[in-house]
Amino acid sequence: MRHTPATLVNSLALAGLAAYLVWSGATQPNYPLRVLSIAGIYGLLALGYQFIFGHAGALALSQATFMGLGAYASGILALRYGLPFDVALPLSIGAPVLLAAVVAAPVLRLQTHYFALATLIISQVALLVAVEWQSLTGGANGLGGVPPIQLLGTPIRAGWPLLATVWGFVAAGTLLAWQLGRGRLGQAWACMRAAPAAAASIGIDAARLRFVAFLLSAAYAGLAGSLYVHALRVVSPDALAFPVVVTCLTIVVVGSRLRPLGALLGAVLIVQLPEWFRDLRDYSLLAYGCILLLVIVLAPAGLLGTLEDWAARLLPTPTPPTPAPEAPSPRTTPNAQRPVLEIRTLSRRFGGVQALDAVSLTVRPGEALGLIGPNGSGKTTLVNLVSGLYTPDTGTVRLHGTDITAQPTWRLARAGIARTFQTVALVDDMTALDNVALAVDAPAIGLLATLRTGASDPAQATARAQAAHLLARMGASDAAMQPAGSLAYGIRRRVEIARALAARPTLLLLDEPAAGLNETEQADLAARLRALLEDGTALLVIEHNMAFLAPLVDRMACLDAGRLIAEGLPAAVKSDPAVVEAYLGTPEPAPALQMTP
Amino acid sequence: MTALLEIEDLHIRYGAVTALHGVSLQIHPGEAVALLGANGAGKSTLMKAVIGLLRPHAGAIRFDGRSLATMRPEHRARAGIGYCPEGRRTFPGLLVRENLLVACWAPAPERARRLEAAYALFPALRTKAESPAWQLSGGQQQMLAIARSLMGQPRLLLLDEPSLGLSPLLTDEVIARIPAITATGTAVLLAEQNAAKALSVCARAWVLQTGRVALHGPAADLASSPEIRRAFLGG
Amino acid sequence: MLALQLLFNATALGAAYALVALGFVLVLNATGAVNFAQGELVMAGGFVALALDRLLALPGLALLPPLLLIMAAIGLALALLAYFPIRRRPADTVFISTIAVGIILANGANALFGPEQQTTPALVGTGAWRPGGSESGLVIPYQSAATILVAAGLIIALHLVFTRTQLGRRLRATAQDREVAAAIGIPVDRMVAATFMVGAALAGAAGLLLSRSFFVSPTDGGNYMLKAYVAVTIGGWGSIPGAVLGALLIALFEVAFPALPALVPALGPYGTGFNQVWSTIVLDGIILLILWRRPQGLFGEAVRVRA
Repeated sequence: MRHTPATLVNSLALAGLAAYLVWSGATQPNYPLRVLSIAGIYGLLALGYQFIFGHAGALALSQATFMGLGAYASGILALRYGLPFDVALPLSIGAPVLLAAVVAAPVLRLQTHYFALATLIISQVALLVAVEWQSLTGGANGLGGVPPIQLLGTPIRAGWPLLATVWGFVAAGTLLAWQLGRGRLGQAWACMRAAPAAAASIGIDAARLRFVAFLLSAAYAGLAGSLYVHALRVVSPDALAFPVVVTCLTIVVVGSRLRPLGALLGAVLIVQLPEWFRDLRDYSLLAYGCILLLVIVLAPAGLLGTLEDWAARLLPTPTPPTPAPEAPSPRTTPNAQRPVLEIRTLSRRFGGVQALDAVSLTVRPGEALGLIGPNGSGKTTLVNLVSGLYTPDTGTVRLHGTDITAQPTWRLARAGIARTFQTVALVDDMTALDNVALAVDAPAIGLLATLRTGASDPAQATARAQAAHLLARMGASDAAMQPAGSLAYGIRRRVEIARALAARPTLLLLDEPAAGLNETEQADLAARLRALLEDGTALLVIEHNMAFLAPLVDRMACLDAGRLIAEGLPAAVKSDPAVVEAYLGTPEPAPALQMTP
Repeated sequence: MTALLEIEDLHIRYGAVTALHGVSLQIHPGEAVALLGANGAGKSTLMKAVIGLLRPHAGAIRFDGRSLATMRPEHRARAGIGYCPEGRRTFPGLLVRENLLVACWAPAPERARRLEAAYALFPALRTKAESPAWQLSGGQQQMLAIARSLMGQPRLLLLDEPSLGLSPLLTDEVIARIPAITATGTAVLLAEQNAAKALSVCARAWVLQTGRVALHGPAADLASSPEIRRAFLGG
Repeated sequence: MLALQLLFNATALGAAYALVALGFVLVLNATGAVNFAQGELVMAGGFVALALDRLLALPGLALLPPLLLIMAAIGLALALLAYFPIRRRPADTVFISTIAVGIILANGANALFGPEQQTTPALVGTGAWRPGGSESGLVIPYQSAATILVAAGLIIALHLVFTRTQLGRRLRATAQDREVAAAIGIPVDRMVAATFMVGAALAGAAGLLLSRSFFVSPTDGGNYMLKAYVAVTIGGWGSIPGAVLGALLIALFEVAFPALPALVPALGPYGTGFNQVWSTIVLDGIILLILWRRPQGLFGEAVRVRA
């Protein structure tokens, strides 16, 4: 994947930025260099913000608080205890990370609008503390006389040395952000954002990944705050006021929500903007708001993203070769002789509707059970109960004899239940191969694993090889290197099933796999699904399409109005009078114009 | 006789999925037509295309001889198409009376008259007139949804799966109102999974199977046809 | 008597907050999106009142009708620039676009009126009414009384429009199910635009009411925004009566907290702690607790149903 238009755009942008910095450092006087150093610091802040806002997709309004905490920690340690910048750095980064970890528990699980409010309130409290705790913070005026940045005993002068030092940190931060965002961790975040239910269904613990993103954003903010206070030589409440959040948000929206380089370009642009518009005086900030609004409306992918889109339209995108397929080792289950799935008297009520009423079902190893029933009969409710999306009112679900009732979906996925969705849930801008590869050993994805990998990730190579194998099994090899969003519907279905298989399930739940497929595609899919049974994977298939289902499954069960009304061999269930009536209605005509009061 | 609604070779896609592949059908003024099929067959999709909530990929929809292609849903509704959505979707926070009034564009005296007509058609709604819609039972909500779609005195009523989630008795009760609706000159397109019940009140029927017309004809012929069973339960 | 005085003061403040929160929740229900510029609209209302006063030199109350019209126009502009072009994108996009509008409003006000705090004309006069004579100590400034009456008048008028008119029913129907509203003939885009206009007009009216006693400056927006946001959270996300109740509760807290040592003698020794700072910190703590433990708001499911 070397020379895609996107990498070309990023390389050119990187070269341009580097040239601009070198030229500035060599020719410009101290003041513009100071502004450019501040831009670098905001770049670091924005790089961090990309983790929580861009990758995790959570609208955090607390980024200034973390930066301010880093700034105060570093400033106070320098002034009170004489600790130089580099010695205090672990504490300046550690303090905001600690705060993030503490507030994460109650705050991170909130919905978008509440998360935004909670983080806003936390920033308000932090600002008040900074202003009011005068003995520690110096109050509204802050503390002056902070020494300059000192590295290994050498103080850094203003002008180009400061610029070089700040941008040195920026370069390191960018490299780390790039490493974290480009691989499997970045893809796991993307899946969590674009298709949260799908992410859980392959065993990704979204809460943990969001937590990681939140801590990373705090760590970058702490570093930025520490640099900020030593560059400005004062620490004041301005560092944690709301305008910092707005600036940070603007940088990321204008530059790019995900690309590290976008954060840097955005920072250089946005921080220098008021300087460039100096002649406009009071109106310069007005221009700032207008630019933000324009970019949001006209270039939702940000400047860098928009450039990438243009490049992709103008230049040919080479398709890299599909990796050589490699079969995954099958999952060994401890209780192979027990039924895969045992559902006992499962019930669930929604408001006044008994969606599922004391249903019991069993699926044995290597068996395919078909679940049919008219619209609203409770089939999807059943699947959602088994896969952990809903909790039952009563009843139990056992997997290989272990009670798994009401476990979260990602745990069930790790225990061996995989599923597909009625509406295919793939990450559209990821290739089909990577959509599937992500599910290979997804629980192992994390911060430490990503940091340990070098330039190339062996886990990703293995995952892609296995994904290639699974796509071939589902007859979707040709699509492997295409973005999932560009694929035809029938292929998307196959990719989704391949992804479910990549999680190495012992039970696969398929929700209307044949919907939208033509007859040839249906027959092909049925044959491929039958082949899965030979490996011992059990199937639970929800389907309306009898022509597809009947030859595929070993047994069939029919639900009507939340109750199990028939179970047995497909032919028997299909001709069961209760089933026929549930589908076609009572043969007698409706009683004419009779009203019950 | 010219058709009130004429659908010609309608194709609809949801993203990459094709939901309808070239469906054609006609409805004449004042007749009740059943649109049958298992779920996923494309019934709701067709209904939504007629009212304008979905944009066709190809094909034409004409109402009263006029193409609907460039008309927004609100204009189609005002032009005489009543829509009763799948799953009822009454406005939960509005009173029953308000749910009805909100769908009527006539001046106040005429509004009051139509409100009376709605209560006459579904007497249960009169007793609940001042309750918010979310307090109604499923059957009452279905009646409210139908009554709401009649408040504009449409010439065509799109009735999308009124039996969904209702007990057989309530389904009978709701479906039994259809002849009273057509008696006022309103044509009805009734989408149903429950074939027997729908056929008992409709003159003609279309059967959809995975987005295509599997068969169509007079209701009486279809009711006794083995084909219809195949369309629902497969071969 | 002190309690009565506090209750009156809290009602005056809460009535103005209620207008802000009401505008916020109406737009929220109609669009599903947070209008983060709602606080700046309050600030804008204060400055529009100031400008109208310079032009017309009338008492504050007489400025209300033109103020409502101008603010409605600003609300329409907000909808056209920051909502309609991006309405099909994720809800957080509108959140950010309205932050941008907030920046534009704040800096626009700064450019036009300067950064200082300014005060708007009194609604009816500057005197006060002392029921029970001077020994009772109860003081009812005309400004506060007029604030309560204007806010109550607007809320009642809004309630009547929403429940008694076809327009009001259609606005509510649009907020509850936009797709079906369109399918039964309601021009939903116009309804959404109208909701933005009403929301901005309410915020503007609050600006006129608040800027006399609390002044107005370009940076005030964030504070009012937070009040509206918090009121709607306390009252239950999307609940209209909840928003009004939440606003009154916030005002009651803000007014009563500094007076607690006077009301409860046992708190006397800690008197200095009952200041503005601790008031904010304690309120913030309560809100975080509500978000954590009772995200559906204080008044439970019954109020939550979107009416």
